[in-house]
Amino acid sequence: MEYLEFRAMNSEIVLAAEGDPGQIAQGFQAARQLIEDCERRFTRFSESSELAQLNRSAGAWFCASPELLELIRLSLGYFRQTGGLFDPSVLPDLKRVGYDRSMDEIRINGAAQVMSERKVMKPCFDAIRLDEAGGEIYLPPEMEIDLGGIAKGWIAEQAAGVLGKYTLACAVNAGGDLYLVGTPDGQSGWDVALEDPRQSELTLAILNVGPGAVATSAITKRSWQQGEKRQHHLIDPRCGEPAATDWLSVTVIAPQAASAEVFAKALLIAGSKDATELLANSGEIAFIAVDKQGKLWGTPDIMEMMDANHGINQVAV
Amino acid sequence: MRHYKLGLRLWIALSSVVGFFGGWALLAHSPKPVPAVPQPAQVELAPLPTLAPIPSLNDRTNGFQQLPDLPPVSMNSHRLRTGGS
Repeated sequence: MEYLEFRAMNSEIVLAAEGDPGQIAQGFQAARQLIEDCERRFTRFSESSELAQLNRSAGAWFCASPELLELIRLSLGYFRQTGGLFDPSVLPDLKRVGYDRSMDEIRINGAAQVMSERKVMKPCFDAIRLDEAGGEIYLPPEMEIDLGGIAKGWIAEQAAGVLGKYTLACAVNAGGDLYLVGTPDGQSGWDVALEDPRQSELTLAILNVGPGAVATSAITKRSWQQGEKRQHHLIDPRCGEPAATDWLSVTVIAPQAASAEVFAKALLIAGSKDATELLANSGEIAFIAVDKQGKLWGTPDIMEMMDANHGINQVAV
Repeated sequence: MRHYKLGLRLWIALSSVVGFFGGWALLAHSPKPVPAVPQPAQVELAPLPTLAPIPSLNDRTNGFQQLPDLPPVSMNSHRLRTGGS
């Protein structure tokens, strides 16, 4: 198996592929170029990105690229499917609680102080209008969106699609959002390590996963101190505050990367109290959640992915 | 007119009594009703399957459940690793 590791989207990116080294090198280059190009277009931390231009255009029609149009169309679908728990228009509240600059910058310089204690009043995300034929998006005035909850998985899947043209088995890991193509030679699936959200250097399990997507959301990963409060990046759209959930992390396995990423976030925000209702509309997903006591919760089929050969107790430490 | 009213009352009373007893006699001599589905002398019941015990509410919620504990280990060399973004 050949690997390429680099940093993009404020995350560690790992490309993995097996086959002819020359072909793989070309595939790695093409996939990396796609990831870096997507980052430039969809980051909210650069004034020149296409997303920043869309946000500045609120109140008028914006001529968008097919990729941005696709992400907004998917986002609208998932907003409805999750009953609003996935909502890219929580950006004003995300900034209010301190996430107004990149996480790398927050880790170095700290977060901004509290601007207001009150939830920002904004239009409903559902009020976005799309002109798919004309390739235009209309954001209502005062709406700002962040694609952080969907773009990374979607980009991982697009990159895996590019890399998959050069090999039969490959994987793209974008900071914990993975998309897997084929299976490694002689194996029934890919071994994916599930990190312990309480101590990131520990591993809870090795999941044996077939082609498709794996994504994890955790409230312990992107968190910061804002005055007296410990904040994290998963805003509950119902109250405009970092979600007060009883789960520390949720990992979702799904056929599509966007679906895995969105439902990992929505389930984490929902917590054990509202997860059942959300699962009724989630389609074909499996999930595993770690709660604050370290207990594991999940769909029964997740256990089948931790078989005797891949269970954590069988792995040499 | 008075005789007419008296005659009418008498006719109604007599026809009611005659009709009642006539119906009684007719039903008393009619054949007994037959059940729509003949019942066997002894009904054989199919054995019922044994149902699994109902899971405790502490262990299971609709759609997801508590999973066995997994002791975490120090192993972070896996390149394909998921832990939140």
